[in-house]
Amino acid sequence: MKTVVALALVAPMAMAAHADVPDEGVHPDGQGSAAAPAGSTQAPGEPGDSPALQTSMRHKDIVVTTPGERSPKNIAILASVAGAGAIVGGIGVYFNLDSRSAANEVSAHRPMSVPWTADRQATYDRAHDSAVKAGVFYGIGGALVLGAVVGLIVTVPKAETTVIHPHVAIGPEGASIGGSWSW
Amino acid sequence: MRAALVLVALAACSPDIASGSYLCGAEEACPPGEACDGVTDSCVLTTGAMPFECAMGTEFPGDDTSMTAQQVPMLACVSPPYHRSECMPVGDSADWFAFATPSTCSMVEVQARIAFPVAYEGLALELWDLAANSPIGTDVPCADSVGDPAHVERCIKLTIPPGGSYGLLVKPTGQGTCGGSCSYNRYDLTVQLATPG
Repeated sequence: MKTVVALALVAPMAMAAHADVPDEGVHPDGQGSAAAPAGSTQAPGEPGDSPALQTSMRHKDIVVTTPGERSPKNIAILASVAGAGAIVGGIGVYFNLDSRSAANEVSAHRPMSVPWTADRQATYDRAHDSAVKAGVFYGIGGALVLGAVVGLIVTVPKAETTVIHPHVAIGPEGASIGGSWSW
Repeated sequence: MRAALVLVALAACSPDIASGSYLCGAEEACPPGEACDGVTDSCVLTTGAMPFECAMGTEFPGDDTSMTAQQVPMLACVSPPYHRSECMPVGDSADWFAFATPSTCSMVEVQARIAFPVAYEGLALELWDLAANSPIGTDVPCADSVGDPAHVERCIKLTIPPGGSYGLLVKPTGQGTCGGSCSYNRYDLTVQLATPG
C-alpha cells in the first residue's frame, strides 16, 4: 500500500472546516464530514498560541472504490471466443435442421406402397450424419461459450480502493486542509 | 412454450419408420433395423420377417420346357386378357406357357406382359414359335406401364401369323439376386390377342 501525504495550505481564517466528498465511489462508511470529527487535538500551552485558535481535526476516512476496467485485449479475446462459440453453435443448428428435414423425408407411419430405394437410404444416412455433426458442433460451440463465460469470471479486473485520510487544522493564521491517500 | 417447441423441433431429427411402411426395394433393400418379408414383399421389423414363399397354386414344377408348358386356354382373335399369378422359386430355371392363334384370324397381335417385384431376382419374357422352336420376340419396358415403383413391368407386343403355336418363356435374368440369396421371384403374367396396329 502506498501512502502519499499532501498538504494544502489555505486561506486565512474562516475556512469552512469540511472536506468535499466525491459523489461517486465513496464508501458509505467513509462519508467524510466535518460534522463528525474523528479526533481533535488542542495544544494548550504552546508558546504564542492561543488554545482557542489552534485546532487540528481528523475526519473519518474517505474510501473511494474505482471499479477495474477490462483491457481491450481481454474484451477482444472473450468476445472472439464467445462469437466463435455462437458461430459453431449456428453451424450445429444448420446440421440439426438438415438432419430433421432428411428425417422427415423418410419417416413413415403407414404403408406407403413405395419401395425402399438407394435414394431413400442416402437420405436416411444424411439424417444420421447431420445429427452426429449437429451434436459435435453443439458440443464445441457450447464449450466455447462456456469457456468465454468462465474467462469472463476469471479475468474480472480488481477494483481499486483509495482511502483518503482528511484532516483540517485551524490556527491563528489561517486554516489548512490536508489529506493522505493510500491505495 | 415457444422455446420448448424450438427445442422439440431441433431434437426430432432421427427417422421414424414404422414396420410395414415401405415395400422391399431392389435386392430386398429395407430401412436399417428392418428386413424384407418374403410373404408380403414389405419391410418389417427384422424379428418379424418371413422367408420368401410361393403361394399355394402358383408353382408348377413341370413347366420348365416348351414340351411341358402350361396351356393357355384358346384365345379369340381379339381376346380379353388372360391372367396368371406364378412363382419362380430357387432353382427354377424357366416357366413355359403355350398358346395358339386361331386360324380364322387374318393377322393377330399378341400382347404379353409380366410384372414382378423389384425386391427379388429379375425376370425376362420371351415369345417363341414352338413349331420352329425358336424365339421370335423379347421383352421391352412397357409403354403403358402403370409406373408402380415397387414392380418391374416387361412387355412383348408382336404381330404373328394366325393358326400358329406359340410359347411364352419366363426365365430368371440372374440380376438382383442379393448375391445369390434371393434368387427367386413371383410374377403376374397377362396375355391377350388383339388386332394389329
